[in-house]
Amino acid sequence: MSKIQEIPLEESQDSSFVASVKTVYNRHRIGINFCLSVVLALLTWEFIDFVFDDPDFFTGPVAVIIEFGVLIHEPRFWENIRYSGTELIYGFGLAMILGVVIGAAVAFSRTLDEMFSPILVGLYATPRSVAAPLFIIWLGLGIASKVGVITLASVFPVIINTQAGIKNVQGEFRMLGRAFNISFWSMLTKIIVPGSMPFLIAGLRLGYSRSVVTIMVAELFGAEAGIGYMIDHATQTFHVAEMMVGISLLTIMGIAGNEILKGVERWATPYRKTLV
Amino acid sequence: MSSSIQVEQVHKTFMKPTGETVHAVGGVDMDLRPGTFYSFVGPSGCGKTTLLHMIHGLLPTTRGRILLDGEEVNGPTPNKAVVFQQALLLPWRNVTDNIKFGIENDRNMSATERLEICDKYTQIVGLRGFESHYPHELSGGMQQRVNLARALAVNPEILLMDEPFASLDAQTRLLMQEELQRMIDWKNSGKIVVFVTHDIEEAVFLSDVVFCFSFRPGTIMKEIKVPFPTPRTLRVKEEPEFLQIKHDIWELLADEARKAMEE
Repeated sequence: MSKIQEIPLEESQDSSFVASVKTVYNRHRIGINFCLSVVLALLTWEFIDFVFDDPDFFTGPVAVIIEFGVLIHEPRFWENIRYSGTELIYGFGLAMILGVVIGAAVAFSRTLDEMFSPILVGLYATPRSVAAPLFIIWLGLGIASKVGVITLASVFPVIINTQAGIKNVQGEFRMLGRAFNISFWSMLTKIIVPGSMPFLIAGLRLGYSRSVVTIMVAELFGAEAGIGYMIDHATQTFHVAEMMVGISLLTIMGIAGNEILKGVERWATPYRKTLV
Repeated sequence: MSSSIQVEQVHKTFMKPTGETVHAVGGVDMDLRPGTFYSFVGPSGCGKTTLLHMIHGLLPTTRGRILLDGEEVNGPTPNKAVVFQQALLLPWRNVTDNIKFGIENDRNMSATERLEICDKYTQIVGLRGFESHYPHELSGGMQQRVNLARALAVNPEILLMDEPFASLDAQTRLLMQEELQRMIDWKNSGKIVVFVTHDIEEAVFLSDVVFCFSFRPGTIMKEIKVPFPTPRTLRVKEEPEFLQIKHDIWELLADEARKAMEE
């Protein structure tokens, strides 16, 4: 005869070590998991280095940090960071402004949408590496050509998401606005802007990632300085550690910007839970 | 305040994206008096919601005209408010701010007055304690209460309701039917209420007058007065006379509903 077992509603309240560790883990789960994943990644990285054991072929995080310590004394290194940082700020900044303006234009005007959407889709599908040499011919080896490539690469997710966001609130919520007799200005500030905000920020995040990736592509075809240039140069002279420093810098730029945009998302849309 | 509405020979024709024309409303006349609760019942696609939108002014009529206090309706005005089938709450606003949506445009009202009104209707629809909740934190029934409070807060002379309980579960729906009468109080305030539904029992229970619609093009087959005094309790639904009215309407609508189903 099986008797229904009583399941205690809560874990026993004993103050054992395991229980307190569990409580701490549950309280700071996200932070702890993040740290664990970073530590795990670094350990794996270091382990692969240990297996290869060839500094001309692969370097682990320890060697990269040491290399970083050497590089920070070179003005050239800081010049590279400043150069790529400027490219990123101008390139992504321009993509942000153009993306929102063009996205809003094609969302509000059906004629513009029908005229320009095929072109936009076509340009979106064009590989960035094709655009980079062209921009160098047009705008020279300096920052301008890189800004151009980065803008071109990252403007499309912003356009598409802005358009999708505005279209998303145009149906029923617009009807709600009309039903309650609100002005065009109120429609814009109370419905269209807040309603498309989650889409817009998602577009900015996609665009930002593309911007960071494109730094590398843009500088690969000829540049005066920059992190991509530094990586390329280090590759050709077999400085694997320096290459790794460059790659790490790009990764950090990517993560930092994404975290900032996630912060903006939490601030602008507090009613939603950030998923990714 | 007490308004009246005349609907005179109103027709509505739509053009489908395929180019096909649909004759949705086919010559409707009605005379709506203040302090009365009207229901539109009929099969799906009989143009009852379309007519509601035309009374509101969200849609123009194809032929005929709708007069509000003798003046032709040609757009939404502040003395009309609508309760949509979907709650259509703004997800970025909490309960209080959603209720406030309709009265924010009234420049003659101070911020304190607005808050007082929100507070009053939060109380009336029974959402005290949920003021700072966001829509996704509310149940379907609670969302519909906010939807209703948003419309009531405008203090409209004409309250238009488009199947507001369609998405609720059966029990919540019954309770909302009973509470709705207390929440609107149309007899004392002289409001005209128009309630679109395809639930015959709901229509009879709530209304002073039920308009029965035919299938497309929608016309009024019969106007039925419901004699029970309001507010009513759910027990009314068991009375023989209530059942008789309900039965008569079903007899009338069954063929129309079959046409709608075969479409």
